[in-house]
Amino acid sequence: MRTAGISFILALLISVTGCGQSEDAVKISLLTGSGKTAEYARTGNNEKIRIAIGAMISPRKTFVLYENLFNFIGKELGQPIELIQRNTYTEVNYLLKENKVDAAFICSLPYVEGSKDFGIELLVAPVCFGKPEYFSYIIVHKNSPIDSFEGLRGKTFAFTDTMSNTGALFPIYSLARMDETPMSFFREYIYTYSHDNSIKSVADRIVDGAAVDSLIWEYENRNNPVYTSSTKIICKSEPFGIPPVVVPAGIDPVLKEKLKTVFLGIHEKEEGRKILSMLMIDKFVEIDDSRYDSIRTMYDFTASFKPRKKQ
Amino acid sequence: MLKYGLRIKIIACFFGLILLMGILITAMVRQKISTALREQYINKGKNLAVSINAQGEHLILVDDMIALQGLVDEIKLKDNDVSYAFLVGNDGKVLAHTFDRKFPDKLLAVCAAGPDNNVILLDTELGMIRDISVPILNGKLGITHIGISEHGIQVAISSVTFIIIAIVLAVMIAGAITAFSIGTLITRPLRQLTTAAQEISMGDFNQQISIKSKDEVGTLTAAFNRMSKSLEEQREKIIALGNEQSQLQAQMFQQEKMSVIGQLSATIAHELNTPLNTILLQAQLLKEELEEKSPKGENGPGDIKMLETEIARCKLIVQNLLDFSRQPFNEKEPADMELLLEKTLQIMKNEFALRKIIVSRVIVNKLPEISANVNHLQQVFLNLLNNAMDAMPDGGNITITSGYIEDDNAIQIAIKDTGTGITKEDLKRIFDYFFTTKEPGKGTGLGLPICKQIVNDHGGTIDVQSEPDKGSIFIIKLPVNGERLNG
Repeated sequence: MRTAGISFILALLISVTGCGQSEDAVKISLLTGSGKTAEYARTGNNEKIRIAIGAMISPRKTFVLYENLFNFIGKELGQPIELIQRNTYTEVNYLLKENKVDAAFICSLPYVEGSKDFGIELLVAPVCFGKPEYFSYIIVHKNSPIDSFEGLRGKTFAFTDTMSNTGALFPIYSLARMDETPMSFFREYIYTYSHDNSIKSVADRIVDGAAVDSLIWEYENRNNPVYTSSTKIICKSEPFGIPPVVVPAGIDPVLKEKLKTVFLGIHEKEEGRKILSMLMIDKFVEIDDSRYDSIRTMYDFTASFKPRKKQ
Repeated sequence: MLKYGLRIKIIACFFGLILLMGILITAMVRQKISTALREQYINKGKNLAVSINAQGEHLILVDDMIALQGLVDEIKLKDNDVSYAFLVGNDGKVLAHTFDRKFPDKLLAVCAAGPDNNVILLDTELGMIRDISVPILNGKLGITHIGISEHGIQVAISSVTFIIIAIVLAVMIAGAITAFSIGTLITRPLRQLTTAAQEISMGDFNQQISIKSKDEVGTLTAAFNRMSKSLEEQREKIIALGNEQSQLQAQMFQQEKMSVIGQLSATIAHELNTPLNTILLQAQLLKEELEEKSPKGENGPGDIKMLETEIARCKLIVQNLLDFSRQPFNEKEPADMELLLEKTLQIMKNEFALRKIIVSRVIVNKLPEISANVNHLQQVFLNLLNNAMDAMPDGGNITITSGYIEDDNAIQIAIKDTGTGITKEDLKRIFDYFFTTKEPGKGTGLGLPICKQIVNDHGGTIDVQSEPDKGSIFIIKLPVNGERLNG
């Protein structure tokens, strides 16, 4: 009886004290290694088709939005796609120039620049709201009294990327036409490097106004109007050639054809249509280079612009 | 005395209980705290990984590995609990890590092969480390790993354990003191009981313990006291019964002895009577013959007369012996004891003078007549006076005091001498038959027993008080109306 009691207590103690140590630890040495430094694994993979996207919206959003499309394209091609992003349009253009990517979704102005400087070629262009066109919206906070571009004089303003058509070229061009520069016209201006950042900046009243891509504003306004609902459009540009999908100058013609075929056929498949509709793209079409002439005009004008009045 | 005293048992119980509780509490608190701390550390690791991811996913997406490396380095630098941090791309290759140049390849394998949950415990040279992994952008970009050192947890647990053990020790000391006090309190009456019970076993039945409490121990003490008292009473009864029995036995033995003596006396007396009669007859014949030969003879007839008187006395003694054997003595008549004493003293007058003994008479008051056998009582007086004389070989004083005691309706006669006295041992036996302190041939050992017998026959008592060299006093009390006196 006594022995039984003692055994019971011992068993209890062992079970109680033993609980904490029941976890199994994996024995491992952290001081011995292969000697390799961290591999920057995402460069130099030859098996994947590398498609870059210019930073129209934040890289995270871009990744999430385009993941399905890229997976679909990869499946159609029979080759996996690697999505490449960079902080700026310039960096993406550099990848195109150096042939480090096979294709790229870029903004219209970088295309105009890239085609002129190192011969990038148009592959396809998306059709949004029925046309392969888009606009630049000048937006202010919805409670702001400003109702015209002129009204932003002496205010703060957000551009997106220096190489953005809608987010920079158009407002700068508009200012040049008014014999103004951002420096002379605005009290202060910033570069946000993505359209959604610009929208957010206006909504949060960090800046008084911003120039944004109409496609992105409309997309946000439809799917997630948290920020767009706090903004209003006070000025809309003429239509521009929509940001295209381009290929570098030295691309393998076979790959170019393959890519073009895939892009043009996406909307013909049920799954492809679904993916496109989520991106608010009707379909991909071939596009003529002349659609970007208006941008070329603005670019040339702005590049050669010298304000006559004193700064 | 006892192998394990009650006090030791109580202390042991207290100790055991506190120790058990202490171990249980320590174990439970340790477990609770370590679980809580572990959770907290895991959460911290997760939060750090999430914060790495918040910036890291952008850096991965734009392939800014230098900034990514800066990010993990900063996390490790800022927090001492972070043993390492590294990011693995979705292709399984390490994007950035905080190990000094060399990345431990095995770690990657362990983490990849690890269980589904995103926490793995690693036993490394740097101590126990918990690897916490959080996927980057739902795992699409890879996984961030943070190694959180268990050192902080262990230090916290150790300090808490130390505090608890200190508390348990303090409680144990307090418990020991309490147990000792309680033990003493409980066992004190028990020890008293033990001592008392031992006294009882040694024969001292009258043990009473003072009752101080009204609890079980108090009840036990009360019961013990009752038992002790009852034992003492029983013993007294038994002793009383034994005394009575031994008295009865002594009495029976006495009667038997008396009966034998009686028969013996009767036989001897009867046998002596015949020759004495013959001697007396011959003495009378001799006297008549001498008177005839010398009618106014000189000394002859006088000497014969003395012979005749002594023979008569012998016959009386023989008669007394016959009387003694013929108990009880019923022949009583009203008698004056003072007169009897005077007669007796008269008889012994010559003897007193010869032995240089001065006799004093003290009469306290007048004695009433009592119903008595005068011959027998004279024998008593003679006997006592002879004894007194024998006790004073070189002479001395005899004082005879007599008086009436109204309360007892009895007379008292005291015979006091200034003789050698009687020893304490002898004093107990002087009324026993055939007991004598006199030289062989001088005493029969029948004198005092006969005296006692005679006094008893009169319903009286005889007592003696004596001390060696201080003389003796024999006190006789006799009832006036013949009713037996007490004592």
